[in-house]
Amino acid sequence: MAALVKRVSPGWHLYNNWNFTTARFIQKGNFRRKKRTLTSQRVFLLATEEIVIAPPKPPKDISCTKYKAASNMYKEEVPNPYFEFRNKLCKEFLEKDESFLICHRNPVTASAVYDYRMKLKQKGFRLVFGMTNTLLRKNIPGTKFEALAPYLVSHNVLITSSNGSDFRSLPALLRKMPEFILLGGYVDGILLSRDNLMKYSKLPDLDTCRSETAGILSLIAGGKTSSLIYSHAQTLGANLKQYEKQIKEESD
Amino acid sequence: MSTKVYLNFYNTNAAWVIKSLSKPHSYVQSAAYMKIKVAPNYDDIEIPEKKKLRMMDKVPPPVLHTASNLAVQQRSEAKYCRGPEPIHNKLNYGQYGVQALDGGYLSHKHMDAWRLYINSKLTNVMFAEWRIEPPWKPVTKKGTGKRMGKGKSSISHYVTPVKAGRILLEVGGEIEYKQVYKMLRHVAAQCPFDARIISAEILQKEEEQKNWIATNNLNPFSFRYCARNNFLGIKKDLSPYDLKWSGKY
Repeated sequence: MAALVKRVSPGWHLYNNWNFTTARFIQKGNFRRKKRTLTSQRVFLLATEEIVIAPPKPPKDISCTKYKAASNMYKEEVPNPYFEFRNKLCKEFLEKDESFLICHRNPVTASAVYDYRMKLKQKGFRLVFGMTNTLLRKNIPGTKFEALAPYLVSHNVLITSSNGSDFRSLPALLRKMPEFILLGGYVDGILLSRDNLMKYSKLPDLDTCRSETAGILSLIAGGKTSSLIYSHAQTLGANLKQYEKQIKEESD
Repeated sequence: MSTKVYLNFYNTNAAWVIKSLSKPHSYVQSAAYMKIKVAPNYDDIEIPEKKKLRMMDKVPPPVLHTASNLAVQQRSEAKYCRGPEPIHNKLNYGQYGVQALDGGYLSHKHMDAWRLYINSKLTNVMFAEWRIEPPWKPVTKKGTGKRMGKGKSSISHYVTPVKAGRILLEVGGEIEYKQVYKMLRHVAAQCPFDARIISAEILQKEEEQKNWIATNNLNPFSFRYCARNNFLGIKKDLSPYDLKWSGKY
């Protein structure tokens, strides 16, 4: 019973710590020495103790990011203009619809970060440290970036392009930066994982793809027959003979 | 005529600058936001004129104005230290203080030591005040080697009796609990009884807990009711003070 009551809200011991007795007719007053409690007294005290069902305790504040959401439920969020400002910046960043990549950041010296930043700047990319996981995770739900939540768990770094440069060259660049590990990103309106990004980096240019499609379409419209007919006489004769042979073989 | 000046190159500023340029960057300056804690608001606090603790008299002025003006001995009564403090158990200035958890006597030695220590630690923005009277209760002592009897002995010193829950000191100003704790823990440790350092928040929390326990208590058998109605014949083992204060004092 005592154990039940002691699990009550904290500070119970502060409220119920008045244990002392006095003895009479002593000059100094015996206020510190406790009297021996009889069994009858102890039984009586236990029987008349207050019995209360304690309310559920909130989870402890653990530093792991997984449990921060659970502990934040029991805290009242006080409006802070500093956090509101940063929240606003994060929302603007997401509304811009710029393509960005998420990389995991292992421990890195400041000089190495400076070198990497210069290398990326030469290629037209930008390192972003300010968009923290807490901010992004708050602003992502309900948007098209919702599927990126599993990547926003550990120490991260975002890479954006300032001039609209091509992201296909990034995986080769990131091989020289061993502390930055590619996780995924949002490129040209599509969410990509690491494997998809590697495939995307191996694709040819848009111009080459367009030229290929143009060539295929021109073939369909009869471009090939016209080129064959207008070719040199010798080649035309040879092609026609081959065509005859094919037809004979098919009929046979 | 040209003069030749030989300089020790390695000790000049130029050499230092060149050395520092050749080394890699060990510090990269970057703009960032500082997460500063907001300081509490102290506009409501009024600091009195007399900020320091006053000196307490060792001997009180005489109560009975007799021809000889001698102080009269008193009984050593335990009633002044027994039970809870009904009046002086709250903070006047609503900030911080030292509260007694048990009853006992405080002498001039305690008060002088605390006065000197706290007055040395106070700043311009802080103040302190006594919440106990100067010593008034006489304590008699027989000389060494004297036998029992031959009347009541003479007064040796004076004390102030203190009950459980009484506030001894109050400290306030533009100060936080951590700073006050460092200052007042010595006061609490030097008391001849248990004492603690409190703030207005702690007292408020305890009251809320008390009320919550009283409303949510599931045990129908309370100490007060059972003791007064002699459940289990317990009146044999209880004192009248237990009936009065429900076994807490």
